[in-house]
Amino acid sequence: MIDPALARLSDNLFWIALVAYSVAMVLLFAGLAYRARLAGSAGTAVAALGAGAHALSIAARGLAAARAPWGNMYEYSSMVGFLVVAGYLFSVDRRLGLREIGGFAMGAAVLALAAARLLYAPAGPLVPALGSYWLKIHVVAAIVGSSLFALSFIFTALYLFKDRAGGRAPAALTGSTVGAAWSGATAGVEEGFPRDHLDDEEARGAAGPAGGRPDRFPSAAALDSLAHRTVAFAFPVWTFAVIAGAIWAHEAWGRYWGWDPKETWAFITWVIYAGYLHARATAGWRGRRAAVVAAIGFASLLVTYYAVNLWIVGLHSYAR
Amino acid sequence: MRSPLPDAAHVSRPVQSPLSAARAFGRWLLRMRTAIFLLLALAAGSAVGSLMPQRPVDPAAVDGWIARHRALAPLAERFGLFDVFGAWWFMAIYLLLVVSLTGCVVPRLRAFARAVRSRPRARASFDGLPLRRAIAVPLVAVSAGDPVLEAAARALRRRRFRVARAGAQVAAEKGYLREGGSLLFHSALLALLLGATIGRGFGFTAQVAVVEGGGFTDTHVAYDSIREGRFFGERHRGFRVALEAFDVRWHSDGVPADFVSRVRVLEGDRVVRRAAIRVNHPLAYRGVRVYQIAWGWAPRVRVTQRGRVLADGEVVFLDDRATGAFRGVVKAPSAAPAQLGLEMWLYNDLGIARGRVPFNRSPQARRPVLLYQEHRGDLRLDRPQSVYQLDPVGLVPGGAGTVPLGDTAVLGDGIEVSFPGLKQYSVFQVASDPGTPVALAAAVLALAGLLAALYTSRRRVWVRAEPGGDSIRLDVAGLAFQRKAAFEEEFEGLVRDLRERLGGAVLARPGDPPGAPDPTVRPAGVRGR
Repeated sequence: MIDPALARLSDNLFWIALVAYSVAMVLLFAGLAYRARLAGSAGTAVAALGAGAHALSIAARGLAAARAPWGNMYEYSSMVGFLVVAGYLFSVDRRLGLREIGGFAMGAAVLALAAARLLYAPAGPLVPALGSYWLKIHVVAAIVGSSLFALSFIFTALYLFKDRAGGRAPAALTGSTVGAAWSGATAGVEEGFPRDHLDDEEARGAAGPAGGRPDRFPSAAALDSLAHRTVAFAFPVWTFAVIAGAIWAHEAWGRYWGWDPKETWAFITWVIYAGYLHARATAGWRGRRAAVVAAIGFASLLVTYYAVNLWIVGLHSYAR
Repeated sequence: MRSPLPDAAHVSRPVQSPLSAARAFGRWLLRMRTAIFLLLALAAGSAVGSLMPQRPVDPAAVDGWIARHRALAPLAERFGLFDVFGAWWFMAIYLLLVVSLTGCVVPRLRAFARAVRSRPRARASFDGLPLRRAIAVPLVAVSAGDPVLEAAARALRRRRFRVARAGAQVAAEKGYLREGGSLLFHSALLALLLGATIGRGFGFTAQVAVVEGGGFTDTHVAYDSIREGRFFGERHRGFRVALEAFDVRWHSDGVPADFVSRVRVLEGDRVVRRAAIRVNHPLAYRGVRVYQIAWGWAPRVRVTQRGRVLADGEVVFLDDRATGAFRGVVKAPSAAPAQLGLEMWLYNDLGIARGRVPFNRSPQARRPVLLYQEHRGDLRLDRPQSVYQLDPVGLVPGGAGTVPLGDTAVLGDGIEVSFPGLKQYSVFQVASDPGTPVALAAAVLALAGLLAALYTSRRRVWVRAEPGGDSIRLDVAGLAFQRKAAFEEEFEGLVRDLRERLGGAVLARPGDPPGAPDPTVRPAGVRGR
């Protein structure tokens, strides 16, 4: 049932992807540090090649084991790394033109792949508990959600770094000025609806051509807004993953919610990001305070995935 | 959370009557910040529940924790940390959250209903609106202001705005789905909690181990363990599930491929259903679902003393994590001269590692052997005890040995232990949860509401016509509450559309004379923050 040649091919392609991402990371950082356009382009090309090899690796794994290639932690981490790179290349690099983020995105992918390698499991069949079409639905949603949260965390971390490194956001964008943020949209606000802001001018401002600006790096405000928009995209995906997981749990374990550690931590992650969205939308939190909440949310996501599977005994322990 | 009160209030706080204190508490409870605080508290509480061993899940782990943390154990016990999800404070947070959420949603629902019923309102002044354009429509094109406004209203309706005419003004609004979706999401969360509560109150969850050839009847006493909802009221269905066979299929490397319980469902003596219950494929019958959750070995053990049968039957052996074998006990109180307890380990494919350590070479039953350890003395059967454990207090360990399948071992006092057969048992989870459809519908609605709330935006447009000398001046103003950049494009498109339809010229800024450079060609217009 297992095709060893394909499994070996998948492993080799995985290594090629890991090396390519590492090289791309160095090139993209060099491009950022020395403002070398050529290095940036070369890094992007190497990253794209690595993503191609990575896609083939994932496909080969699925074919080798004759099943969906996300049945254990190695495969899950590998998929998350792939989606972070793909998300960066298609959305951040091509659509927003923010090549300056590239080195960090590649760094995140290298970390995800290194974690995958540490959790390596040879290609094999699934345990019976995973033998359901919900594996395709629930796990894919969880992987996509995790990848989006990872991308948003890159923006958040860079925002926090940038905010600290002197490139202070304008007063209206920092946390202490809830009042200022409120006043922005009070004009014309009447009965009925709560006030809320989901601004994206800042992100669009950063989306223009990178050249010509004195500081090539996206502004703190742009990073803040990008992080917010990415969370707003990831949150419904994560919500769906949790719901699909509950439906699957109802099929497999006889209850849709049982406070299993995985369920509990998925819920905690959901609550923290829900708090983040509320804080931004209704309380008008921006900048540092919101970023800290988002960073806590991502830490909770890491616990949900790694700590729960590796150290806390529960019903998801098989997915090791 | 910072206190909403200024510091001075703490210094000279007036004496509060209970009523005003209750009112203050009510106000606090209904604030959205409180709802988020409660939600985070619920998250923090459940984090504790996932890190501490929980009695309903693994009582042995709780005992281990208590033994390791003698000093902290009473405190943990006091605050229900060994059963967080059933603790009073967890329930309290949960209930406060329900009240707070309801308190948030109901007034907003009312306001939203009002907003939906009312027509978009005209504005006295366009000052302070972020987006503004003026179009000069030559009087050769139209003779009066009204057809111009009518054209503007049509253009807005085409863009699916709700439009209202008020005198010389058109007011339009779009994006009601944002608040509607948000309300749907929050109401659905309440419905989800309701569904969970219905399930807990009116359902039951039970577990039962059934040896091949045996079965269970859906009654309170038939289950090994059961949790019935407060309002379940013993409404068991009384049907019988008989286990004909249990199969485990293996991959070549010893990984299980599938577990299958072949069952018949009986009402009285009549077979009403045959089914194969597998992991992920439960049996659903009369609102009760039967799940395959575990399995194990049940060796038949026969204990005799000089021809007299002391014990005979299949014994359910539990997976013994310590040895990798299955472990069970046989109690023979009628043995003489003292009562006999046998502690047994089943190795279904016995191998002996270096150091004479027994181990299982594969999970299949290729060479089943029972290892036994005798205990003589008082079984203390007058006390409540587990069928899987011996009470060691009154017992003295005796001899030990092995019995392969089909063989007999001879103990002292004419006692013989034989191992004539080996069967498997299947563990079923049996559950009835009448709240599931409610919860599922609520979850789907919550997701739909969430998508609407996150990806739609609310915006307003006003159009005003003023007759001038040789032209009608059309003022257009717009306001977006979210996604302002996207609305700017939409607004420019609307202005362009109006100009083309009416044959007018766009004035660069409100108040500029006609003939100024057309800003829609190079949109760098007014941008309000």
